[in-house]
Amino acid sequence: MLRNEMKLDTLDDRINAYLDGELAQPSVENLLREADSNPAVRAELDRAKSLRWTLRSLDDSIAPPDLAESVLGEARRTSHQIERPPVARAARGRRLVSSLAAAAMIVIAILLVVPGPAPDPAETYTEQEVAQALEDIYTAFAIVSQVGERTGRIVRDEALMGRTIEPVRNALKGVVGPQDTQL
Amino acid sequence: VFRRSSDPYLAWFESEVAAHQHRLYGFARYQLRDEEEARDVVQETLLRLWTNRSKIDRAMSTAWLTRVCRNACIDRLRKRRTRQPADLPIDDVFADDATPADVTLHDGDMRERVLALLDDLAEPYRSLVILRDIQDLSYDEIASAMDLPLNTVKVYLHRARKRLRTRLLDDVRHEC
Repeated sequence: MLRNEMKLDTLDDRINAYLDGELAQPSVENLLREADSNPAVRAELDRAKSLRWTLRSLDDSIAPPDLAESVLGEARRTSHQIERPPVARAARGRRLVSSLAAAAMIVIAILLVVPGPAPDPAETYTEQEVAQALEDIYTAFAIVSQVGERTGRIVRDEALMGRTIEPVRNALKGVVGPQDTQL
Repeated sequence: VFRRSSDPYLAWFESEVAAHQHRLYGFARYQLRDEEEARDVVQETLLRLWTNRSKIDRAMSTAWLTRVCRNACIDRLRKRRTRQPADLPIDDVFADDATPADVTLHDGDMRERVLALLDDLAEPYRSLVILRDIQDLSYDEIASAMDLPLNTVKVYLHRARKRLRTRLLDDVRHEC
């Protein structure tokens, strides 16, 4: 008859369940009937109720008035030191990806614009391969453009060095605009 | 004291302080029986909440605060060495089997008797009685705060209540 599944072997168990409000109504009625007919049960039940009421009456603590002010004052004073780990980590991650993309793009751009040894006739590229390479460069520029003007200048100054080839120039125009492609 | 703030952490923290400061203070006061120390413990507990504000599961703040406050109280009691704060074997509900010194046999004040008996209750029984019977926390909250299985909380609490009643009865018999 108990609402939860605790076993009630003794009068003490039933009294505890009664005080916790976990004794079902029929069991409560049985306990009270038993108390009416048995002075020992009545005495035990009354002591338990008296103890419970006394304990409940002790819940009268009021914290000192200056406690909250002191704690909140400290919180307000340090609220600007707030840590925002998820945002900060995300920003750092984006910066890292952008930096890596910039580095990769610089390498690609140098390989494209710096004259190398005479091409081996066997190492000729199809139009599709060239288009894919330009697409990769375009993607790299798009990522770099997210990190701002400074990185854009680095790419322009350090990588292209005024010797960009036409397809790269066109790709760059598509990302950062014509005013930044006067290379 | 509780000015509204545009900072979401601060607004949340203000509401937590308003919701828990009195209960935590009561818990610490009954544990330590020293108002100044209780104040220090609650201040320390709330500031730890603020320090850990970005890591706290807000739905569990009651259990978290209670656990931190209880641990701080136990640390202080250990330092005092005037009580037995560590968890005792299951049958040793009272820290000391002698009649509590603060219970005067002719004292008719039930409240004072109960306080004295509570003071002599060993851990974790004292915490359980304070949290459940004085502060009316749910069994689930208590189990979470004390890191005990739910059924263990019930068994320990029932045992503590029984021993408190027995001690009170003994006192009455001695008076008679």
